Amino acid sequence: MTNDPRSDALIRSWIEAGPDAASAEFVERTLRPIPRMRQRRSWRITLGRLLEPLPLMATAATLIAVVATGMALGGLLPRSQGPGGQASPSAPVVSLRPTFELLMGEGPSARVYRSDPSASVATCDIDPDGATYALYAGGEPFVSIDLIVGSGADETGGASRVAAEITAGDTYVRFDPAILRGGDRAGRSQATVIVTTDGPATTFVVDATTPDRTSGQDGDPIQISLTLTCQP
Amino acid sequence: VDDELIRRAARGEVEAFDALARDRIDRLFAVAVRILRDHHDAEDAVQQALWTAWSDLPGLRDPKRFDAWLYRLLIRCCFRAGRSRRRRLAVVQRLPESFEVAVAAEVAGVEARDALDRAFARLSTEHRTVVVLHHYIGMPLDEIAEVLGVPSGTARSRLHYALRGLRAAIDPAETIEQTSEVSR
Repeated sequence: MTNDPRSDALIRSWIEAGPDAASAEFVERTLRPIPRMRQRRSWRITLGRLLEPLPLMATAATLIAVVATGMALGGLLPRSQGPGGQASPSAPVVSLRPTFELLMGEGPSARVYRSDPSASVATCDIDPDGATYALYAGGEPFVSIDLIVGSGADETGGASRVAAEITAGDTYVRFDPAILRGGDRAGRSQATVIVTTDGPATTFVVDATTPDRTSGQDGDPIQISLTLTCQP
Repeated sequence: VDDELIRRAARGEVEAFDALARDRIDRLFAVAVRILRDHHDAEDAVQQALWTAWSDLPGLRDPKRFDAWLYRLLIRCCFRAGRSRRRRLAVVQRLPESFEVAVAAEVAGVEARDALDRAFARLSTEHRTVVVLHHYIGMPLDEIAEVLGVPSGTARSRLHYALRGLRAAIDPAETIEQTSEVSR
């Protein structure tokens, strides 16, 4: 095989040419949801960091203390008593995770997608004002959902307070009829959400009609049905 | 400075991660769009890579490995996008017009450009990845092997094979040699 420097220079200049910057809109669309995403913190990482700077004996003592604390919390050792003879209550840390079933399209060509338990991004955050933000990315075929259900969506006249950006397999859509995120013009899409609560779980049933945006421009309308449940 | 930003981001400081991501997102996009040859797929891959990076950053023990780790996440996302696209496209997708115009300004001759375009499109995602990482990013082959999780020899042979295909597209002598190699 020849290694003609001219050919290689041509190949290199061909590779170097072309786009070398992401659009500002894409940068914001990618980075904006991150404050609402949780980081994965396994107990191994946390324990590893705790133990890292300690010498061997201190490590052993810490391990014993951690195990003893775990047993106490699990009810295996007598519980420490708080004031009034009751165990000290601690604020529960509730981490909500979305599961969903998504139907894209209608009739025989409709595609169904379901959440993958091993997805790397799967969070539900509920703001003090009642707005819910669900983020999901993962699975095969790949699905990403960025869903906002505005506060008051479960009240009379609030059913259109829902917005989403969805990539499912080959298809990309977004809708925001109530202008929750400022990304839709009036009349471009229609969407409704029904909110039901069952204990710690909240389910959102979203029906929407919005242009297929896969090509980067609005195409034919596509029907979307999303049932998403946020639960611990 | 970056090491400190990475440590802070791993502790959950969104501002630190935002700074790291903004500093790298153009480069990540440029790599992804060259591997995938599709703006939308490239954006999906970069977005997924950065979201996963934020999610999994607390598990990264050595901040010095951050960039290699981030490229590994991006390449995985590119492979996934590449597989998904292969399934949905029966024909080779052409580059966006802006890409071709830019290439035309750089490369001597429309024929050579078209030939490279076609030859690159015929390569697998894995082979394109090695070419882009080596010739666009300037990444050494050993590091490419680490990013891809393959032996060094595999990275080397992928680059060799890919470059042979690209050279053959613009160099008739290479074509003759390739043909005779095949016929042997």
